[in-house]
Amino acid sequence: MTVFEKIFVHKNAVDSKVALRLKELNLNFEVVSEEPLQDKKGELSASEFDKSKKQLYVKKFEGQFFKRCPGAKPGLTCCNYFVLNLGQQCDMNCSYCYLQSFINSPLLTIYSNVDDSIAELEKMKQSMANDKFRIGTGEVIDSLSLDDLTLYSHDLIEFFKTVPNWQLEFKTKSDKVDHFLHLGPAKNVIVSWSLNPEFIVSSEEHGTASLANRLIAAKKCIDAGFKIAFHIDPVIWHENWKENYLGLVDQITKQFKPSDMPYISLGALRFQPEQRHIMKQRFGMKSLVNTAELFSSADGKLRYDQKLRQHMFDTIISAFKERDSKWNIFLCMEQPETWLAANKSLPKQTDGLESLFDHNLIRKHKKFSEIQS
Amino acid sequence: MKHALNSLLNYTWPKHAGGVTWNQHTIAGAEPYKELSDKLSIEELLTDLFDTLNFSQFSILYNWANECSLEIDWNKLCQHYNLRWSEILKETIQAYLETPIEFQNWCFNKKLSARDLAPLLILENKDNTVLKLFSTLTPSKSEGTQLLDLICDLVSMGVKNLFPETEDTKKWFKKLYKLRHPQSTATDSQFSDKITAWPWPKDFNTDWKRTGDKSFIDISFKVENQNDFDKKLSQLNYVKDWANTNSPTWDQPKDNQ
Ligand code: SF4
Repeated sequence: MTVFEKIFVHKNAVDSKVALRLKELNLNFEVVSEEPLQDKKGELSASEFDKSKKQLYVKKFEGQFFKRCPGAKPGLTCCNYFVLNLGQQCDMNCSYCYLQSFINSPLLTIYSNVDDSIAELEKMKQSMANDKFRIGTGEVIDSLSLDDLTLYSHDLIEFFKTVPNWQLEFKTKSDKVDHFLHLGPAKNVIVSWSLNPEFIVSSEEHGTASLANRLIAAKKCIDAGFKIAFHIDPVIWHENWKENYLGLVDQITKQFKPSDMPYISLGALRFQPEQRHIMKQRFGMKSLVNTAELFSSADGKLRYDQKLRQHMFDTIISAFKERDSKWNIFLCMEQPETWLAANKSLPKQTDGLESLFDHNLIRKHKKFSEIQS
Repeated sequence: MKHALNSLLNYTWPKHAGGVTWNQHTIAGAEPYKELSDKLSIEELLTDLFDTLNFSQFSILYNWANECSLEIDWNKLCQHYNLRWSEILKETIQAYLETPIEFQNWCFNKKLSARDLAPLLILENKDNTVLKLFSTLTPSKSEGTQLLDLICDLVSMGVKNLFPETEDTKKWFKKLYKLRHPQSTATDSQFSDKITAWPWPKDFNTDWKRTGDKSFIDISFKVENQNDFDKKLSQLNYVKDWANTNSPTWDQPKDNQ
């Protein structure tokens, strides 16, 4: 379990399940009536960001839990994905992590009122239970790396079992699955892993589970009756990229079948240009992401040259298809031309992926939110 | 005798107006001094006298205050100058103050912001001689910030020989860009060589270009009338067919990429 230097619990969360769990685990915490370190809020320095991973703050969340995926922007091909935020910041430490340009709090925050998030979903369920929502919890926090502490997966899995048309996705780089396996089967709960060759895991994804352990965890989830998915993301160029990514394809295709997962998504390294400074300060110029040759792309993010991205995607997709044409691969957060080059059709026209890009559903949810607010 | 703060900040002060001190520290002008510590707080006095300060001036003020061991409420002062007093601002000020004075002067003249100077934070030794060149080559603000980004990356990557061959800033930028993007520049030049060898008609202008993450053939030609249009299109078609036959994978990067 993650060790924190300091744990704060807001007085409004003292009776929450998480606070009780902290007590149960004998983890000392300080009860506060105001958010600690408020003067440090705002853009964090490299050392403050490092520290923010080690200070846990449990509080009640007052806003709307359920939102549309922020990747959905003009010029980008993105799926109809919704997010349920149950906290922010992550206890792991990837060099490219986008939280470095997002987090402006010196604390790793966990929201104590998971029940309220479920109440929000309950409300939606009343009018939209038959729609095909895809909901992820790993947007600004890893879905599972702290789940052995919060046990939120338990509440969420139980709820999603009552809405079989909706899909819940736990997206993680950890291998913490043992504590919820007993709740399977739940075919509408997808546990997904961001994967990279072990070379990249050990050089860029600090504090995460090894590739082998992620794959073992995925196997356990299948056996317990959950669905799984893989995101090969971010694909990072390095001298032996081809060999290493083909090795990764081998590892996946030897241990899993296309029917084990609805899709595998692919994405290449990308981040906001402002983020480069903190990344360089925190991980130095030996890191592959900091020495990468990146260019400004249509959405303002820094990316590899488009032809190089396409080449890397083509290589990986072909390797999967050569092993079995049934592998369903899609590109997430990519521009339409890269999509077309890799898939020969846009996602909405690709077999098996149409439901991931259902714009009617997006409009419907927007309307629902407007009525609610 | 220490310089008055206003002259360090390059803030002009009317000669006949005498000077202002706060707790014996010379804030502005020269004798006869008026001591104002009993009437105004240091923050009030500073913001009254120096209504706007850019990042360089703010850094100089910070340095001066530290040298004078003056206790200042930096949060309050930052609010006035539209800055946010934070760890990152403090680190950037310190980094800036450690750079060669020639570079500081260039930053001062070009009114660089703390954000513009963020690349400095990765330099182990900020007193780098390459930075001195900014005062002699005087790049524009936008050229300079791009150069700074490249220099800080390259220095931290341990790349040597960053000095320009001539005094042309554009050439210097090209040199540094190439050092920072060795693979992409090599690939772009391979593409460029490839397409130059194609059988373009004489009056077509062609070039291999890069805009952001995209590289492409830029073709331009003039069309005088419909007949000419047909002719140019068929010539273009000929080039396309030629490329398809002779260089079918021309648009793919080499495998070593
Ligand atoms: S696991 Fe995800 S959220 Fe955590 S540091 Fe890595 S990229 Fe960021």
